[in-house]
Amino acid sequence: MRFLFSMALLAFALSYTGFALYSLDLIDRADRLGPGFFPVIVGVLLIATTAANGIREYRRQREAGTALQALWRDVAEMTGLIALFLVLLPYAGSLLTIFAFSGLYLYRFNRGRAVFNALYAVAFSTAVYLLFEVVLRAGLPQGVLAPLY
Amino acid sequence: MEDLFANLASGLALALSLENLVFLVVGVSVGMLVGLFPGFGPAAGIAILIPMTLGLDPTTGIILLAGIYYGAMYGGTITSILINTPGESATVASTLDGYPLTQAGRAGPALVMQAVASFVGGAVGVVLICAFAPALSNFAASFGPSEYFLIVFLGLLLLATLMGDSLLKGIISALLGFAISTVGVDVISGAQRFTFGSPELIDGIYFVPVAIGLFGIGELLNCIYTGEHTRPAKRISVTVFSRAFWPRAGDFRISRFTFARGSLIGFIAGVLPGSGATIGSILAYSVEKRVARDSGEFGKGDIRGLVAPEAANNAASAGAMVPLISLGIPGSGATAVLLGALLMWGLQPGPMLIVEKPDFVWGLIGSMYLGNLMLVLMSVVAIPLFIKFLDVPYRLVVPVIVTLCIVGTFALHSSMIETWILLATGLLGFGMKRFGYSPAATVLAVVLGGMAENAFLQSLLIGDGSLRIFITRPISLALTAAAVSIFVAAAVVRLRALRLEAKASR
Repeated sequence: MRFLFSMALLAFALSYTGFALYSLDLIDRADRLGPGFFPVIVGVLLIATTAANGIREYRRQREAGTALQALWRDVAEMTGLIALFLVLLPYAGSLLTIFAFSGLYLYRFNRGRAVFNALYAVAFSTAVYLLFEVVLRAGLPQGVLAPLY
Repeated sequence: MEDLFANLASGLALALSLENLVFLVVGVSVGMLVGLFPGFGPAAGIAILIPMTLGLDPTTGIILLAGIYYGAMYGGTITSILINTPGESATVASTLDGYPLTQAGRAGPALVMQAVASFVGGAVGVVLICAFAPALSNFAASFGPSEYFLIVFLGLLLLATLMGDSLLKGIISALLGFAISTVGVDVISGAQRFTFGSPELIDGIYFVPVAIGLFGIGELLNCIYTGEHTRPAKRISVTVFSRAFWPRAGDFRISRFTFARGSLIGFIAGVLPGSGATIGSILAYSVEKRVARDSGEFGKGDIRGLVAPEAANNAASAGAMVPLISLGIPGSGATAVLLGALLMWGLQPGPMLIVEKPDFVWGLIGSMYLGNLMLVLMSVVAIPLFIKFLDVPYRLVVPVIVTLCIVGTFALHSSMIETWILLATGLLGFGMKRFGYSPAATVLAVVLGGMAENAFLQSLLIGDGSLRIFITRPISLALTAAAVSIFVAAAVVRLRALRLEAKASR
């Protein structure tokens, strides 16, 4: 995983620099430093450092071996739940989304306490909604509940 | 000197207004709670709560956020002492003697002594801010673009060297931040960069979603990875009504010089860009151990081993405000987030801030005095109440953190793209945390990226495209020499480590 992460950083560095070279001018028409000058310096340094780091991590991985640990699954599920939150937010609105997120999260990570989980999800989503929408007037998405307002 | 007292008095008067006092109490209380959660430092707390300060007056807003900043330092130590789990990296050194004191049945005296040490460190730090911030502002008024670029460079280099697994990973972290900061319109040419046609990216990637992602979601995913959500709550009870809760006179006598040493070391570490409270507290602990005649008890529950890092990390929090206020250059992740908040309110920290907005600066400094006083009282009297929060299992706190991160980010600009940036930087922050990179360096580079790029390009323009400008001016030369020395020192340390490794494997 460590090596994969370093390779992802290298891939980002290559794409960033490639895109900067392709789309931005290093020197503008007036012979001054152009909009691409600084990004290209950053990109080239990023490629050099992430490549050196990748080699180092590859050696380290070979020495240590690879073993995926059990809790990666929990991290992946949590990430999925956060992504679901973001997908639902504009359509279902903040109140329903927070309720759905808290409910699903507690169903998965706080098993065996259905009544408590339901009460927690209702109370928490209502409290956040009241704080941000009524007290702070943050303009959260109303989603499908918009006709009720 | 008279000016100093007059300014301080007006700052205290401002901080004492009812509205500011209320937000100060809220800030330090939230800060203490933030400090109690494992791995959840002041940077995350400040970043998540920035959106809630949008409607506030800037002075009130910064009082609230600064309260969270140093409140978290107090709160982080409670878990270090009681359950050997530092709330954040700056309180790691406090576990060394704090937890053994709890095991020896002296949790009460340890908590009180840490509160007193934190108060002394914080108060000494604020006194030194009064002395140094105006002087540094005057000095910095003569800085040109080359000096500003080099200070940013030096700060990031120090952060990269001292934090994370290695200098290389620290540099990668900072470069990632610079890359993120280049998104948006180039201020010199007006050309769009990396916007991919999205109107929401024309103004660039805002630092708040990045900071909340790296520190908030990143830390949360890391806590889930380490199984924090599967552990039961740790039930601890402490009562202030027992005689055993209070320290003995001997505890104060033995550590009377420790307070001063820790505070001074912490303040100096805090002022140095990139160094900060973690290094300050570890350094103060090492110095204390070295100067103690009877150092054999360190690590087994010596009260000086707790007082030194506690005085240091709070003095460092105050010290880190000096470069922030006077140069506009933060020295740590938390102060980088504070800088971003100042920019959000339309304030430009730097040499002119103290001249143009004296109410703001002195109000902030005045609030820090009051905040420290409040925290020492809360730390002693309300400790049993705060400890009750440790009864809440981490798995029930997770939905609160996630929701505050997402809703807070959305509330800034009603932008869905920013919430997806939050998730992306959250995953990045998780990877960085797991594999030894420095999220603080990334945030610092995101906040300072625009300024660094402008200063760099202006320096090249002034120097006719030559890099000699970075060594021709005396202050630039000194800063360049300092940067080279850091590189050389880091290389020497690395070579030594490699040589030792090779020797050991033979």
